[in-house]
Amino acid sequence: MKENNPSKGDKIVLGVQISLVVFFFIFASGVFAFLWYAVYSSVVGNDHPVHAVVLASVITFAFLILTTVMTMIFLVIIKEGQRKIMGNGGPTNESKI
Amino acid sequence: MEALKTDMGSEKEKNITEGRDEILYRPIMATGKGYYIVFACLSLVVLFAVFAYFRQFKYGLGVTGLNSPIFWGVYITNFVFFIGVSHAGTLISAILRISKAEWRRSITRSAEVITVLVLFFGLGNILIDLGRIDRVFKVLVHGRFQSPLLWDVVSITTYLTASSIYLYLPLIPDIALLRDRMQGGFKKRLYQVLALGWVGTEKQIHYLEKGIAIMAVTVLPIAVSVHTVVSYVFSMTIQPMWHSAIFGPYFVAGAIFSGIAAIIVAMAVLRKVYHLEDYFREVHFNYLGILLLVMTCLWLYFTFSEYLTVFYGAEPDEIKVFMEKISGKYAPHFWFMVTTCFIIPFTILANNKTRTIKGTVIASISVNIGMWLERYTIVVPTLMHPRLPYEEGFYAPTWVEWAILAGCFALFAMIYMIFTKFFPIVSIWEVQEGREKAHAEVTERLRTYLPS
Repeated sequence: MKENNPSKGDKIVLGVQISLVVFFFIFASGVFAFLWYAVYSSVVGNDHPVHAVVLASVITFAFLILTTVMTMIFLVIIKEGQRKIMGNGGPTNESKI
Repeated sequence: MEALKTDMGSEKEKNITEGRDEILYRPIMATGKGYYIVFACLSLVVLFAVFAYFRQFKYGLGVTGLNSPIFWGVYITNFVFFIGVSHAGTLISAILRISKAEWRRSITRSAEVITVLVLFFGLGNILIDLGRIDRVFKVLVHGRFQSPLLWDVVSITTYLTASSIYLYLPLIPDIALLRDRMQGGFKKRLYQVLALGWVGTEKQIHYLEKGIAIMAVTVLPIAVSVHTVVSYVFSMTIQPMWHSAIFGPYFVAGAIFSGIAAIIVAMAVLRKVYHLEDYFREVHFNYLGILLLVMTCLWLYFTFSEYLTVFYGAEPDEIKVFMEKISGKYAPHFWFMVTTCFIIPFTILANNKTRTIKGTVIASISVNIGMWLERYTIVVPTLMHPRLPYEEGFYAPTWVEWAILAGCFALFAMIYMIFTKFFPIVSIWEVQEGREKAHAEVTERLRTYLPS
């Protein structure tokens, strides 16, 4: 029986995995910022703001779906994996195949 | 879904399954001499393309054949072509996954990889066409949503993100299998990170399947919108033979057409190189061949409608471009396109006897050449005769453009090769799941027919 505490290696792996999610959030935030800055510019400059609002809304909706899926998958899988490791005290970051 | 549970199943069953799919791990575990030789040859082509690009970067777009009024040429043709090919993954994977087509299982991965890779090449060609790459920041800072060019930027970004996620999600259980096989080293660490701690619990399986299903539905409208938007770059102008209402569906149909052809070629190469005859079978080539045949007919229908409308309209500016394609300077390109996009594939694929693996591959190569030419004959002849009072233009691509085109294909092949060295090119868990489903169906049928 292995000890229930995750090893240093596991902590690094977990850290990188969480960084991947954070990186995705930063990327998605960048896209939102780009979209809504373009909307802001078009409103301020009275430069066909309706075009901008419609397009930015559609892309924002698509990115919200992508962000939700990524968050859901990453968090659930990582959490479950960690729970299995802690519960079993089994091989860290390894399945038993 | 037992196949997803990496820690379940009897030892005996596990051994059989592992032995059966062992060939799928081989490219990752060992690398032959041939791989390095091909890789080195492709590297030379890429290096030459890099040299050509730096020459263009140093001396400007003057080293290309681009000029006024023909300011779009090979690079924009490449852009439209690569974005079109990207429909391979979406069509094969998302549509077939949603329609629960069982035969898709072994071919989805190879198609999804094509999608993600070629999108980078599509975007890359735009950057190359800009001449000064730093100008891309002006799009970010001064982007205006009235411009279809900006629609392209956002739709392709969304498509690339969605396709990458859609490629990655079904990879997770396979990465976990690889993680468990590796003894140590860089690859082991990489798989540990990317597997996200996958152990195949009920909850993990449930959420992964939910995620894949959501992505399959989401990625379809995004894919269709991307190529429609690519067509808007042309059709939203009032240039002759660009300003057409059917350009959106015409481009989408063409994209699916070239996408299917690309996946057939990729499957044939993988089958031969990695001995995947059991996974890419005659039946896959036959089904995809039939799909290609349908798309061939659809392509002819759209092309005929487009050209007939222009001919009957007989608007002087449009007729100039039309005649340039039918009997002018671009007639060889146009008729070669008709031959490669319709005559060759239709002749081969409409006949059961010639719709073999070899026949389907020949038809697919022909279609890919033809579809590149189609994009070329859409882009260049119109710019040769714009509505504005320019003198008639002339465009002949230089060695720089050809070198960069060759470099794009070589780099694509190289990255694809690298991918096969890190991840299974056939989805192992999906194949196993397919087997289990088939067994369950047969058992159920026997139970229904025979007394217990």
